[in-house]
Amino acid sequence: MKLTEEHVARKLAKLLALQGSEIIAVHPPGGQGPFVIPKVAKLDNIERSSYHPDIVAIRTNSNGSITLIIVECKLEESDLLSDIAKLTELAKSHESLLYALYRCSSFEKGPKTAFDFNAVSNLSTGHLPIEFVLACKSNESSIKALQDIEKYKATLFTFSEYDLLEY
Amino acid sequence: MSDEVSFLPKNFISEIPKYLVWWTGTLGQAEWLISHSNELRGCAVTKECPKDLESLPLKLRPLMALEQPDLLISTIDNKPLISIEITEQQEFGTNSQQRIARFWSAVVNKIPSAYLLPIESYQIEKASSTDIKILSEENKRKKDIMLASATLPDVSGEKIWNEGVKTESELYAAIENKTLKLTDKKAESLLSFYEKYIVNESEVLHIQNIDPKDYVARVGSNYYKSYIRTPKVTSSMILNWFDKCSKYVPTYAFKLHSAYEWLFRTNGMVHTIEDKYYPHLSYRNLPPAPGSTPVINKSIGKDEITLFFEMVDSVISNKKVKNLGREMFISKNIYFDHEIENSWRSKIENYKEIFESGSADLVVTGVQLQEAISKTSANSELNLKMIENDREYNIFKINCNVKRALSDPYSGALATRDIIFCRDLNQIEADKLIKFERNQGLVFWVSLRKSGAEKNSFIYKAIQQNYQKLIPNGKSKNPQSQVIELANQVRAEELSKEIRSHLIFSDFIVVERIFSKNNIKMEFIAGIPTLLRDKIIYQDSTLLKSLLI
Repeated sequence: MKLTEEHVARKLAKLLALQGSEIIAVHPPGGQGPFVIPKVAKLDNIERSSYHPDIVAIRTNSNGSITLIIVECKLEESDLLSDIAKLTELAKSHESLLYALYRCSSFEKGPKTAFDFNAVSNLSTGHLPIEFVLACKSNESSIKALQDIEKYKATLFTFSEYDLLEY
Repeated sequence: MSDEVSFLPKNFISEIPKYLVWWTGTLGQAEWLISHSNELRGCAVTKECPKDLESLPLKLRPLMALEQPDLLISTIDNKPLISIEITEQQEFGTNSQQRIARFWSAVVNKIPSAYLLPIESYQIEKASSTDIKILSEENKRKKDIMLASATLPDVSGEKIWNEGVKTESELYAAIENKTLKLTDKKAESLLSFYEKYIVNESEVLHIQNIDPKDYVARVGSNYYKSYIRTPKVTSSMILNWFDKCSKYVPTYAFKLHSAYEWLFRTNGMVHTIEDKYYPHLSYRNLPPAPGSTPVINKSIGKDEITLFFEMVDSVISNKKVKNLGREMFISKNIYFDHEIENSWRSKIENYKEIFESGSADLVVTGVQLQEAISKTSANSELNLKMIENDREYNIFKINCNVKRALSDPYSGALATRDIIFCRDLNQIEADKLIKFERNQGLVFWVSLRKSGAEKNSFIYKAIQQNYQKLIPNGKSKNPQSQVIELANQVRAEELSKEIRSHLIFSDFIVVERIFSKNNIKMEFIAGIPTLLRDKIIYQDSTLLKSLLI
């Protein structure tokens, strides 16, 4: 069977869920995505110019704190360069990152796992509880740390063809 | 390695499939459909719809001729069974009507169709200065009243505070007793909102109003507000469209559920995130599973997704579709004000009102239409004789200041108006639909200003471009003659989307190119309905034949 970017996204979402993350939204290739982060330079009422991460998740850490995970996937590693550029642009925008946290903030009738938005709002640039993840197909499955993207931790997940087909 | 992509488990796929699920949206939607359908599961395979419609089986092409639906189920030998559309976006102007042309193609071929869409939902957008001001109010009780008021239509928190409303319960009592100083109409509309979205005890479940505490928030240097996007005029038009067409062939809308819990994360939209029962549907941003969302129509007692699959399965198995309770969408005062139909369009007294009007639907006489064009344009070549004096025409007028193509959402908006404005119920049958037997005519009137006037290619230039591309040996210079040749020689799907539905649904297309107050050029084209009526083209034209299976 032919592999697609969707194999990578679903495999990663499943792995993140198994590791204790709550998957908030998945944006399938060619489809609609429900989690949209407006770009600050062009913020307007209808959110025309926006980031649409492939996956958004909240990870509960061992100390009980939570981290927002923003993911971009590609089938081929070489295609991730454009995603790194996209995430770098996002990471430079404190306002956009705050907006992403606001969309996952706690409120009385909202989901249990959520950010105290007043608290995270006071954090400075580079210190928001956010991490980036990139994922693609490779010869073998692995997890490796990448260079931070604008002070935010970044990780690369790779999956072998065998693992991608196994789901 | 085969090119076929599938996430379906082996027991869901048949070696000898009976059905094909054609998809243009996402593979996930097709697999969601197969997995939850008792008729498709184990009997169907997915097939991506080719971008180039020439490689699509001929029997299916008419259903994709105007636009391509997200999903189309056919038998293995390509007999179409049902056309399906799924959208998460709620109405924003005429965008909710954008997809109606593809349903029109199903109706004209007597093929059932289903539309899953959020009829009510939540929206988050930048707050206004009035909203932001509430946050700086120091009197907590006053701030609470101002926030509660801001979540309601037509209520000024400042004003009612000064009138003596000091608590949320006093506010709600004043709404129930209609003691707020509002016009009767506004008081009625406010009471209706309160009963639907706050009390919410009717036979139809509505979404919950925004909690005042969640109404407005500062995010960095910006402020955002959350509000209910209630269904408005354009939604009432499409739900009425579905109701009318369903009298002829099963054509139903289903409401995608929004839950308050997901207000911030997904504007309330409920999705399948992880499906433990069907893991292959997990993490694909799919609609919820049947039975996983609340019942909307309590008298029917089943959730919308269950009802959607009941319809799909009935159609596939050739059984009569049961009562799905769809009348809730058009029953008075359930989703819409009982007078909403009166706000769809307005009748004009004088032709000048066409020019004075912004984007709107207007009802005019043939005489008024002729006057409007002839008194604006000195161009004697415009053939206005085809306008029938005694006929009433619905003008769908839009203003456009830019170069952009006028395809979406106008093609769907015209297909909407073809049914709800131009036809009686007895004219919604395949024969009459395709013959454009209509009580009233339809005019697409485009006012182009600024760079729109200078650069927009609609409609003469766009016709010419189509003509040169599709009839390369054509000799005609006249746009009207080019349209006639195109209608006689070209299939609908070959025409560019920019003019396709416009020519098919409009009796006339009028383009008012406004360079300055005293420099206006008019373009005027008779569309397919007029050309048919005047026997300039016939039912056996290539264009019309291409719309039918």
